[in-house]
Amino acid sequence: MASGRLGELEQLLLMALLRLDGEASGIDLRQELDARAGRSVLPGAVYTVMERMVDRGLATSFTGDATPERGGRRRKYYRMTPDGERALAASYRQVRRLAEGLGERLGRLAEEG
Amino acid sequence: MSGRRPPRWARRIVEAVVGGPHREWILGDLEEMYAARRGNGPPTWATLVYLGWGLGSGAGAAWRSVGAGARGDVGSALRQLRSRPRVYLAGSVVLASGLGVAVFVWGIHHGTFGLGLPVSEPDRMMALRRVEPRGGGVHDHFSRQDLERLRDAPGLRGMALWGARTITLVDGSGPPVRAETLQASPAVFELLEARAHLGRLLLPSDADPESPRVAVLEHGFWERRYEADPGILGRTVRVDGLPTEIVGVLTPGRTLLSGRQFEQIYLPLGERDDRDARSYRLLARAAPGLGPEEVSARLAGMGGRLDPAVGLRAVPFAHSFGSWSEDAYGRVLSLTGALLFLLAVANVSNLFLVRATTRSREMAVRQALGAGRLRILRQLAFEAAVPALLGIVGGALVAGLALDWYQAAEELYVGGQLAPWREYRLGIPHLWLLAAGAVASTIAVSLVAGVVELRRGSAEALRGGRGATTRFRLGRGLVAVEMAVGGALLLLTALTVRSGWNLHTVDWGFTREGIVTGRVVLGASGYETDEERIAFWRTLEEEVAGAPGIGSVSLSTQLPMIRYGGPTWEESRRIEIEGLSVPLGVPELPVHYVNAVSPGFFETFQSPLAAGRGFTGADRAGTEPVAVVNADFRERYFAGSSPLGRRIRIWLEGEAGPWRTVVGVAPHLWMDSDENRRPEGVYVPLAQAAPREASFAVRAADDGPGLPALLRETVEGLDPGLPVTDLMTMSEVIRLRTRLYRQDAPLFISLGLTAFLLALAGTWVVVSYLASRRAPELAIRAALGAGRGELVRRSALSTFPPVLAGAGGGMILGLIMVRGFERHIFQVDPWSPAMVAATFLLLVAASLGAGLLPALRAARVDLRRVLGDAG
Repeated sequence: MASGRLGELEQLLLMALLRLDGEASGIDLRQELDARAGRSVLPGAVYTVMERMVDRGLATSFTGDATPERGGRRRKYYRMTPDGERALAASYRQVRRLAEGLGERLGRLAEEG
Repeated sequence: MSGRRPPRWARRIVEAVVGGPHREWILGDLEEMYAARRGNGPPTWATLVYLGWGLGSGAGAAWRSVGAGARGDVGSALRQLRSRPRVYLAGSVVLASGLGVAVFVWGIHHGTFGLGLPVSEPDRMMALRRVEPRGGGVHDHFSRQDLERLRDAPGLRGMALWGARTITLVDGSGPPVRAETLQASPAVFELLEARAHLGRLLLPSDADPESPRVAVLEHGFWERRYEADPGILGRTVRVDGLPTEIVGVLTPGRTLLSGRQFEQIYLPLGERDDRDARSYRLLARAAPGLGPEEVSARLAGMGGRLDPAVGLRAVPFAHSFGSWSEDAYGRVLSLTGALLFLLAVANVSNLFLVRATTRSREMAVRQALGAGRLRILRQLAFEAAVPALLGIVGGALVAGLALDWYQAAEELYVGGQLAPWREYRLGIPHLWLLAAGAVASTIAVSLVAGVVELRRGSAEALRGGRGATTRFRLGRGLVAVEMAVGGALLLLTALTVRSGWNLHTVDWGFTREGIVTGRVVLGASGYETDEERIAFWRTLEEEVAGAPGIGSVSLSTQLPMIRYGGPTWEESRRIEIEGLSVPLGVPELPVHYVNAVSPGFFETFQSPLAAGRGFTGADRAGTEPVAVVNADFRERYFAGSSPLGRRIRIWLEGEAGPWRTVVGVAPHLWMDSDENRRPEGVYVPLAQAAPREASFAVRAADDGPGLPALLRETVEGLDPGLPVTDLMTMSEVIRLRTRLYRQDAPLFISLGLTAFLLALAGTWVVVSYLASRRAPELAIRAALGAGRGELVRRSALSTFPPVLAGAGGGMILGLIMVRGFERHIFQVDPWSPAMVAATFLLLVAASLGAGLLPALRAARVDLRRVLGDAG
């Protein structure tokens, strides 16, 4: 059972993983984060955070095949676990509760920002 | 897909900086990002982004691993960078250029001279050399018998003999060609871990006299010559007229000996070949853990097995290809890189000295507010490290891009013929070494300056006291170092520029336009008698001359600017002059070039004789032997008198030829090729020499592509088994022979100018610094009536002694470096006092000029402002 709350990058990465059907490689996660959230992070940060979540039981990992595009190296894939889904849902609930009634103001702030 | 990968130099940098448990995934992601970004566009931008992400990944990991205190210092250093961007960026740019150029030059040096063999343990591959007694020199010529005698030599795990030669190949796949062969004892394949792409490699039994003759092809030659025909195995070709079966093709992308050795065909060396001929070199694999010194020590005394008192020495195989001049040039290249780096570090050190001065009050305030000395010094160290790190990143970029450019330029220059092993790589160990040196030296200078300021004490600093004599001395010392380095490299630049000028204005002594040349070798078999050879050459000349559009034709054993034959040939041509040569025996006679030419030689080159007559059809075998000497020969041996009618005799391999009457004097026609060190030479009629090989020169109204074909067809019509090689125009001959002078000239000129500018920048910084320190003194002098001129003179001349000393030292250093540079400059006396004096004066004048601007500024002093500032 996972314990503790999710950090900001953990939330974003789990969200990206969910968008990618619960299974994605490190580079896919990074690209999704960049494309959807406009958040550009170093490849090393993705792996550091994802491995921490693997240790906490929020995700599992496995390696793919080596490809020429990667200079003969293999990809590392992550899959969300039920604990990961629960942690993300809990985190999302928190944010949603906190944002209740703020929809209009937050929308305005987002447009201004 | 390898073309979609980042350049190797960039990968080496990124792989060196990215670490940690996720290294492999990160590196894979970075390459994938590169491949996606590159698409079909130019790779440079994608490479820069790849490097940016790679370095960022490395820095990110490093950032996470440092403590909070250090992060604070880095943050403070970055704030300094933002507040004084010009100073720090100038330091970074200077360091990047020095470090980048050094790594670039060392990369060229490695690609040119430090070639390793593509084997699993290249450091164990050695070349053996004979050390002759009584100063007889060091040679690398061994015989089969020598190999047998050294078979059980200690410290070695296998040996093979090898030698290179050119053969005539007749194979039915086009006209006969001259091909480069490597003849080696079959053990060489095992020693060098070679594998066969097709068929098999050579076996020891292939060298037996009873075995059929066999050969193995180099992969590229098989592709080009035989269009990668898999049916090549078993085909019989003729090698120098002897039937030889092709039994294998080597794996692609490599040759056996990865030096500047072109290999197309491999032939076995063994019992068939002369046992005593010292015509081969010896390759050996050292026992594990032994270097050249250890192997040489174990071989002590083994040389006696070859000849009494002969010694043996092992050298790294990669070094065994270079001649002395190449080795020396390599050392000059390496030294140039090191000097430029030193110059950049000296410049940056100067900048930090100045920077420390301007911050003395700030440090004093911080000290007064309770900051410890160590805390302040640590912050200074971080502040120095930031521009140093930026300089390192910039330097790696400069070096990587420059090496890419150099490799592309060289491939363009030689028409894509660059050997596959010849790669100009970014040396990561060099980069780390210089990076460590750059960081250490900038931090050290910054700390020294900081310690000096802190020792003065806060009260004195706040009062504005002046007394940093340590920095004065250090600053002047750095100017001297910069002048020495800048001067040495400027001297090499001046020689290169002069060389280029000479090349541009040289009088070749003949008209090269409209001439096509080529060479025919009669081969090892056939044409046994003088009469047969003379008849062949005469017929060839007549056939070519009779073709439409041909103006004139000549045959000669040598061409202007081309020297055929090696040392053995040269040694065998000794000239005896009747009445002049002292009869001390043949070994004491002078050695000069001898060119056997047909009657049309001087006419074809449009080079009229200076006196007497040339050869005619009447000068043939059986008539009076005649000779023509060149103007250089006349100057040397007949100064003040005419050589016409005098007699000379040519000694060939210890035997005297007939006395020849001198009938003419030819102009200087570059008989010693571009080197022109021994220009004296003698011409004899081709019909009185009957050589086995000769070059033709044809002057035609149209020297277009049709002419080479005509020449090939003419030779083939006379003898289908004879190849025509070296077909090129005379302009191409000259371009080829002078390539060495032009190849690295832009490199040396740009390196020299960079050094010059850096040295001037160093002077400028130090004069600015000294002038600012002396502002109160200058202001008082001005108040007491000193003129502006005097103030300018005092400031500008403040660096005069170190400039003079440094420039003088630079000239000495330059003259030492010139020794390895001589072969790369065309017709320039590197020891010319005028050249050295001019360079010295230019350097001193320019450095004084560089100091003039800050001196003029310093002379506009205002006593009240300066003293107010000080107080």
